[in-house]
Amino acid sequence: MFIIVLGVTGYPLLQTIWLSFHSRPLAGHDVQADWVGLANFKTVLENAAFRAAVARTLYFTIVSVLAEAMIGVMVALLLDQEFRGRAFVRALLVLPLAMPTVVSAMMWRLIYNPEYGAFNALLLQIGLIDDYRSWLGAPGLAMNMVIIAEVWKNFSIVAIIVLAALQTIPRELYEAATIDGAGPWARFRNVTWPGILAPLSVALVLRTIEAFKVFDIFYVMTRGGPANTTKTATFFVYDESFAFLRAGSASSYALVVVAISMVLIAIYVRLLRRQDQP
Amino acid sequence: MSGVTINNVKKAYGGFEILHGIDAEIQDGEFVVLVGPSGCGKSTLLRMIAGLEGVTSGTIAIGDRVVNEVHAKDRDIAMVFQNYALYPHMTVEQNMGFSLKLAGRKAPAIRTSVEQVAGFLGLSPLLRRYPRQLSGGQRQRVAMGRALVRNPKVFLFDEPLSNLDAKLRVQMRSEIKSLHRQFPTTAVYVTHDQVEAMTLADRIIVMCGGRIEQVGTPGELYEQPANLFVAGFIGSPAMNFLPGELADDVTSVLLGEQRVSVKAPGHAKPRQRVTVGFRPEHVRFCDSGGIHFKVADVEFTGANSYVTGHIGREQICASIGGRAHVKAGQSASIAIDPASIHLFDTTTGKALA
Repeated sequence: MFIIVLGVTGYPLLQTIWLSFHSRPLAGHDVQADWVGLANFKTVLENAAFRAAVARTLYFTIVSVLAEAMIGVMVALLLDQEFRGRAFVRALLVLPLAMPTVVSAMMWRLIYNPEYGAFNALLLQIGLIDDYRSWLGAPGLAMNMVIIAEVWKNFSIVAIIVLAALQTIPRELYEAATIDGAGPWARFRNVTWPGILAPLSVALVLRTIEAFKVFDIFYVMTRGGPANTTKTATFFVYDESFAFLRAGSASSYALVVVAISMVLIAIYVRLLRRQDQP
Repeated sequence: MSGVTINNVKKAYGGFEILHGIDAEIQDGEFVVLVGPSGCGKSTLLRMIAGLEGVTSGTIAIGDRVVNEVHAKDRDIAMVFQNYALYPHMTVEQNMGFSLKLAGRKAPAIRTSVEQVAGFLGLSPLLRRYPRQLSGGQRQRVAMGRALVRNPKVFLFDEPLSNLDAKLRVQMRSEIKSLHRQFPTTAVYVTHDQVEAMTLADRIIVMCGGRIEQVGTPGELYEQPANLFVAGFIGSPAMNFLPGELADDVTSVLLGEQRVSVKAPGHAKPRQRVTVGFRPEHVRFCDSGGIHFKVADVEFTGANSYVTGHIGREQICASIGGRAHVKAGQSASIAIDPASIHLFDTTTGKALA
């Protein structure tokens, strides 16, 4: 077991770390790795465009995960109510999750299309805009439009986890709270929220890790544009590897992205531990 | 303090009636136990008193006030649940003080009330703990403390001891009893365990199939069961029943081949088919001249022995103090004290009285 884990995760990780201290082309004849020490990391950290990309990725991560949490919790609360067709609606929740990101990104690109997109048509018909706009072509807007697509794709994982948690809260707790004099808000605050907090935190940790290493949705929807305003940190890993074929510095970029992710995970783990303490 | 008056209360779910017109008067300060088999509607009735279920028709009054339309929180009741229903993220102190906090009481006043009740229930060292750090018995005590702190008009208990082991159940039972002696607030207690009902209640309401079968003190139910259901439900081991026929002079009944004298009421008819009931503890073994009894099994429990066997084809149980001197497969002779025999109309199931 140990050997399998070491082979599957240990070897590639060690290889990446080794590469990050070398200058080595990704492909070609006579591939040779030259020791460069910390030079690759210096390049990465001195790259202002990369630092801006990290900030952009953090913005994307925080906004999309917060939106997913809020919408996910609200949808879970709705789906926890009794109504006709509840099983069907619950099954529908899985749909965005089951869809490959590339497909959903293409779908949203079509929805945002400046000439025949449904989004433009909708806003025009309800009178919010006067003319069709290029939602993914405007530097200030594109990032937020991608966030909407990302939230649509992933809020359901939060909703599913929270819904599962809601179903484990004993009915007697709500009844005890009702008899104790709690209204709807006090019941949510004192029974529902503590009951879903731990599973919700786990869902948010997973979503944060996923969101920070985002690549595919931007690659399909904007390719990092317009004017690099949607170029996220992982684009640098991709560009260094496959556009400039520099395996060494690409590894350094990758390791910096991993390090930032680890910081985010550590913060969450601390929060979770604090919750667990009586 | 107030009593509870239940007047022709019915409950239906989507046209399916599960309570068929319940009438009961629970006196101020009385401890009343609702007992019956699973699905008899006892918990539903309790939840209707609590305001957690609506009343389909009829009225429920607490004191002089009809509470059908009064919200649960405004009924001035406290409820102890089967699974304790303690808030898992709150300490014992916060759990107990939650209702006072919601009622807008100031923190020092809440602390005083909680500490007073906690001291009484022996919970003072546990106030800072969370429910998951407590044993089953301690959780049960906190649940009762939470109810006591509110100083309600009526206590409602929904099978509060069913999650405890046998030993703890006996201990908690006596604690609830002594608690009620010190705080004589009206209490309605639901259980399916007739021993719990007998030991706790001032009066018992026996329910079956959404109807009240009999209301009375534990002694009345045990000694004068109104029908076959109550006779079979109250008492452990259960009462024995044998088919019989009254003699022409209605002073005796034929049991197997043996004639046993009975006290039949005046309206009993000669040769009337009856069900003869007698409790296992009223059976004794005799040397000869009794009813022929074939022993099938002997269970020794320490203080008693339960001897099961057959009179003709009917199975009965005898409870003998100490060790029984009979063995499985042996034939014996038994006698039943005529004064302890109950007669029931076989057709209606009602006691002949």
